[in-house]
Amino acid sequence: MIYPQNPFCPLNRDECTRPGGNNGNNNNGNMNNGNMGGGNTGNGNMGGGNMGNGNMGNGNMGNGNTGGGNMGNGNMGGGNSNMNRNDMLRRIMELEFAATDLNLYLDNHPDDREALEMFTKLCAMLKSLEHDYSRRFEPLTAGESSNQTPFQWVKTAWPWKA
Amino acid sequence: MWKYEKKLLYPVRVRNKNPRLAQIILSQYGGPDGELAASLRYLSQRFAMPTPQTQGLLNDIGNEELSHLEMVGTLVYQLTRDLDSEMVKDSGFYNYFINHSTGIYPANTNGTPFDAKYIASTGDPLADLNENLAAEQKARATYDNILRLSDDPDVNDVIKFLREREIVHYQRFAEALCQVNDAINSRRVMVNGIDA
Repeated sequence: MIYPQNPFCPLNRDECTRPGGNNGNNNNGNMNNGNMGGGNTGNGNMGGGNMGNGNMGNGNMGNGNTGGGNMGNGNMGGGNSNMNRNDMLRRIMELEFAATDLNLYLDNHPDDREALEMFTKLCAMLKSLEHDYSRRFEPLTAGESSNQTPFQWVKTAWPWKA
Repeated sequence: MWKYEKKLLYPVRVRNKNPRLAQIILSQYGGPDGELAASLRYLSQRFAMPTPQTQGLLNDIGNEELSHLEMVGTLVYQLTRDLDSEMVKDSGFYNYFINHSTGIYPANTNGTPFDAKYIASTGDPLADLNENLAAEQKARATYDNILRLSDDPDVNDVIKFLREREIVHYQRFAEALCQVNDAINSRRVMVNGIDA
């Protein structure tokens, strides 16, 4: 039995989103003009998805600048020690989001070397920053609370609290 | 398996109480096009996907949807702190409050509890991927409606983020659909034990 060719492939193969590729405004199956600039893997947005209206890292991950450029204030995981808790947590969330988004891109394009390099860098920065954060402020995973008594995991606030 | 990290995917800090808005947003927690439906749909469909790549995509998007579920729950939670009974009565929130107080329960704005009928998992990758395209657009449309009904900037910031993610997910599923189509048509995969 032959599956019929899907007559409506919503995404033209050549327009498959790619980091650094410039697809202009996302017209890859996006149905309306309410596009918030998200879903835009062109325009130098690595993996698409501006985080907030470009305020978090300005969504610009791929302007020839692997991980440099605008992610916070160019403070990329070196110089962790001067950040206060809120800034550090925000940076962690930026990196985590970027990694999450790039992860999805890589799922569909596992051979994209440039994307892989970026992903590796992001994960390394994230790991280092999360480790520092857990040491200085509060554990982000249960495992990071293993050296402390009492069990810090339940001594610190949960993230849905304002 | 799942591990948990004690942070949200994107910050949620709501300064104003608004039980009416909370009830509206609840539809993205337990409603037909909400994040619980999305997570369950993708995490269920992933088993039957024909390639490790597509299994990976369904797994990872389903995983992200759980983070979204948490954010939507957080929005409802923060919007309903420290209410007085007048606010509850006047806003219409009493419909929810009577059975759930200010706890979080998966239902839609009308109070209809979450239902697995909101999702499909056919085991057929073409059917499932097409379902997912529709699901992402429905979620995006629901977020559009929330934006039409909300004027709280803290809330809208979060809703816009979630809305963008739906659009990106749509793109990823579209790519996957093309790839699966190709794989089936070039006979690189079998589907449901049938040599396509």
